[in-house]
Amino acid sequence: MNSSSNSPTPDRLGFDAELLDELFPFHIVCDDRMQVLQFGPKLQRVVPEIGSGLSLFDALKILRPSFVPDCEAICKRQEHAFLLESVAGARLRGQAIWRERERLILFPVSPWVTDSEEAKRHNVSIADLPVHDAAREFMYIVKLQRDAVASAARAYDELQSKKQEADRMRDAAIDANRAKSVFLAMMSHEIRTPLNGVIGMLDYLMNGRLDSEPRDCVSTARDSALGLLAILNDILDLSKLEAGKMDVITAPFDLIALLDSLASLFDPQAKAKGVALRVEAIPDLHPRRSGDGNRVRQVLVNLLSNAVKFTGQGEVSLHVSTAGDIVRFEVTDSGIGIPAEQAKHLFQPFQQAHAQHTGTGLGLAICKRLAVLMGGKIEYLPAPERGSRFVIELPCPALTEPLPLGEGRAVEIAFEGPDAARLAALLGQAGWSVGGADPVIRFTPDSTARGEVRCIPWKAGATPRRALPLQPIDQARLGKLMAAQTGLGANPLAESVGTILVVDDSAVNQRVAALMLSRLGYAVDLAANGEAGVEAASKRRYDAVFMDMQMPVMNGIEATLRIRSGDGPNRETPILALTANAFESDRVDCFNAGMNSVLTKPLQLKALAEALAALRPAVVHP
Amino acid sequence: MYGLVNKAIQDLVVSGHGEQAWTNICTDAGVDTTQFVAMQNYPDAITYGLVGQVSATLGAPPEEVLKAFGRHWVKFTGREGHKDVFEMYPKGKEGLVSFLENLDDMHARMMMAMPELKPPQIYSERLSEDKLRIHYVSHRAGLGPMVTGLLDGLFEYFEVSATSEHLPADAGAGRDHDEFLVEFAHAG
Repeated sequence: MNSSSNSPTPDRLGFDAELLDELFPFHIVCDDRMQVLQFGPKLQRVVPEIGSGLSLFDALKILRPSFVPDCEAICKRQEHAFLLESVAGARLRGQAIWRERERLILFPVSPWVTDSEEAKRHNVSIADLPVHDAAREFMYIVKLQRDAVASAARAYDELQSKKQEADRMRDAAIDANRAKSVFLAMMSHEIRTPLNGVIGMLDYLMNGRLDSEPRDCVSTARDSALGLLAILNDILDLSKLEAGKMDVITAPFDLIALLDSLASLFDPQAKAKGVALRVEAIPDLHPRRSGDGNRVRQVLVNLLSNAVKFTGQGEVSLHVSTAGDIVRFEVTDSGIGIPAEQAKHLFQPFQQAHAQHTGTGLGLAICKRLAVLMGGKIEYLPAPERGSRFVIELPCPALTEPLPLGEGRAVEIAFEGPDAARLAALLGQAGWSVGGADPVIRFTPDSTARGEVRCIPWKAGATPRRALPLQPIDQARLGKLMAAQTGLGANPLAESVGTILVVDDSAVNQRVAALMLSRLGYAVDLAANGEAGVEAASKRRYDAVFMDMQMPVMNGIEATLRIRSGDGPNRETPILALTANAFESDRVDCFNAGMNSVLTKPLQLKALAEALAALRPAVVHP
Repeated sequence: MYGLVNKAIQDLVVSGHGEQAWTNICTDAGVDTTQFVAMQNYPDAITYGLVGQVSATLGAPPEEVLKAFGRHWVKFTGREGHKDVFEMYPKGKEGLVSFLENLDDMHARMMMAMPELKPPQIYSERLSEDKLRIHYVSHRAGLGPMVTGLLDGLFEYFEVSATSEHLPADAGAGRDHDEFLVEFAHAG
C-alpha cells in the first residue's frame, strides 16, 4: 500500500502528511497528468483498484462535475462538488483543490454511503469516517428522509383507499336516497288515491240533499277523513323534509290575501269558543312579496290552529311587521301556555306540549324545518303574562309590482280611522285613485249590523246591497264584491255551462271529478289515459282539461306536451294537473309542460271551484 | 423518476384541461393512481407512459408535449417550494448564465441528498459574450425537446430575449452527445 507515510510527496504537498491522513483517511493526490501520487490509509479498502503511479481514471470515474476529462477542466470546477465512483460502484464525495506551486490536485473525499447496507458492501464503517465528516449525519438524514417518504406514500395509499370507500358509500347513499324518493312518491300516490275517493264522495254527499242525521254522519266521516289526510300530509311532509326532498319556491304571493284567508279560516272557530281573533299588520305592509306563499301559509295555519286549540278564553293574535326584506310573524295567545320543560323539545318530532291533547306532534317540527328551509327561523317565547308566543322571521322581499285592479279609477272612502287608512292603502296599491273625482265606487260605514262598523262598496248612484265586514279586511272578498257590485272585471257569479275533459285512469277518480264538475254545472267527457285524452282533445274544444299525472300508455306530462304542441282545438285550453304527489319538482314539471294549475288529490269541491275561478276569463263557472 | 416530475405533468394537464382530463389520461395510460408523492421514486416507465398518453389524448406530437412540459417545469418548481433555487440568481442574462453554469453542481448536491436521483449531465460553455454551448448527456433517450422547453422557461423567468438550437448527438458531426446553442439577442 502506498500511503502518505511512505510517499515521496509530503514535502511537495507542503503540510503534515500524518495530519492529512487523520483528517481525510480516504484522500487522493494526483499530479497534473492525473497520475495518483498518494492516497489515504483507508481508501484502498473501498477502492481496491487505486494504486500509486496509476491513472486516477483507472480506478475511478468522475460522476460530477460533468465533462471534466483532464486536470485543466477539473481545475476550472474547484467550486463544484465532486462525486467519484469506483468500478465496483463505491462512491466518494468531496472536492478538488489544485496546488499551483506543487502542481498537484488534492481530492479530500470520503465515502458516500446512504445506509448501513451500502457501507457494509463497500467495507466502510461509521468509525472509519473522521468525526468532522458530515457523512456520518448524512446517513441518518437520508434514512429519515426515506422513512418520511415511505410514510407519505403509505398515507397516500390509505387516503386513496378511504376515498374509494367514501365513493362507494356515496353511491350507496344516492341509491338509498333515490329509493326513498320513489317510496315517498309511491306512498303519497297510493294513499292519496283511495283517500281521494273517500273525501271526494263525502264532499259530494255533503253538498247534496241529506236529512239531518245522515248529514251528521257524513259530516263526521268527512271530518275524520280530512283528519286522516292531515296526518298523512304531516308524515309525508316530515319525511320529505328529513330526506331533503322538500323544495321551496320563490314566487310572487299576496301576503295580505294570505292574512285575510287565515282570518276567514280561523274566525269561525275562534268565535265558537268565545275567543277574539286579531289578524293585523303594520299599515304600510306591502302586500306583494317574494317567497313560498304556500309554505308560509302552512306554517301560520299550524301555529294559529294550535293557538285557537289551546286557548279557552281571551285572545289569539297574529301580528305582522317587517324589517327590510324580513317579514316577522308573531302568533300570540292567552291560552294554557307551554311548560318550560316541554318548551325545550318543542320543535322535535312527536313531542306534545300537553300530553292530554291529541295530535301527531309533528306540526311544530314541520314548522321549524320549513322555516329553516325558507331561510328563516322560528322560536318560542313565553307570553308576557300567560299563554304562548311564537315568532317566525322569514325572508320575503317586497315586490313593487302593484295589484292590477283600479287602473287609475277613483274611489271614495266616506269614513275615517285606521281601517279606512288600511283600505285606502290597499286600494291605492291596487291602482285606485282614493278621493279622486267621479268615484266609481263609494265605501260608506254601516253601523247597524250588530254594532260592527262595516263598509259597503257600492256603485256610485246605485243602491248598496252587500256589506263587507271591516274587521279584518278580506281583500279577496273585497275584490269579488266590488266586481259583483260594479260589474268591473269578470263577474264571478255569472252563470255559465261548459264542457270539461277529465283524463284519469282511475274509475273512482273519474267519478269523483265528474260528480263535482256536474255540481258546478259542467258537462264532463272522460278519457282513461293520456293517449285517449290527446285523442279526445283533438276532436272538439273544451273549456278546461283535468289531467291526471300517473297513467298507463301515456302519462299526463306527455299528453299535455302533445296537446300543447299540436294544432288541435285545445292548444290554448287551460289544463289543470290532478296529482296525488305533492312534490315541488312535480309541480315544476307540470308548469314546464304547459299546464296552468295543479290540484292535489283528494279533490275537494271548494278547491275545484276556486281553481276554475282562478282561470277566468278563460273559464267562467257558476 | 421522482414523483415531482409526474406531479409537474399533472399540473400542466390540469391547468390547461382540467382534473377530469388528467384522470382520464392516468386511466388510459394504465397508471393506477392520479396523485404522486413528490419525493418518492417511481419507475421511468410511468413518466414515459403519461407523456405518451397526454400526446395521444390531446392530439399533440410527443415532442410538443415534452417541450411544453419543459417550459412548465420552470414555473412548477418555482411554485412548489423551490423558488429559493431561482431567487439565488438575479434576473437578466448574467443571472441566467450563472444559473446554467451552476446547474450541474446543483444536480450533484441533489444527488447526494436523493440517492436514487439520476439527473442528466449538463455543462455550460461560454463561446462569446452572447453565445453559450450547453452540453447535455442523459441516460434517458429522447428528452431533447424537453430541454428546449426548459430553456424557453428559463428565458421567460430570467426575462431575457434569447433563442436556443438543439443539436442532437451526431457522430458524423463529431458530437457524441446532445448540444444546445443559446444565443442572446443584442440589447438595444
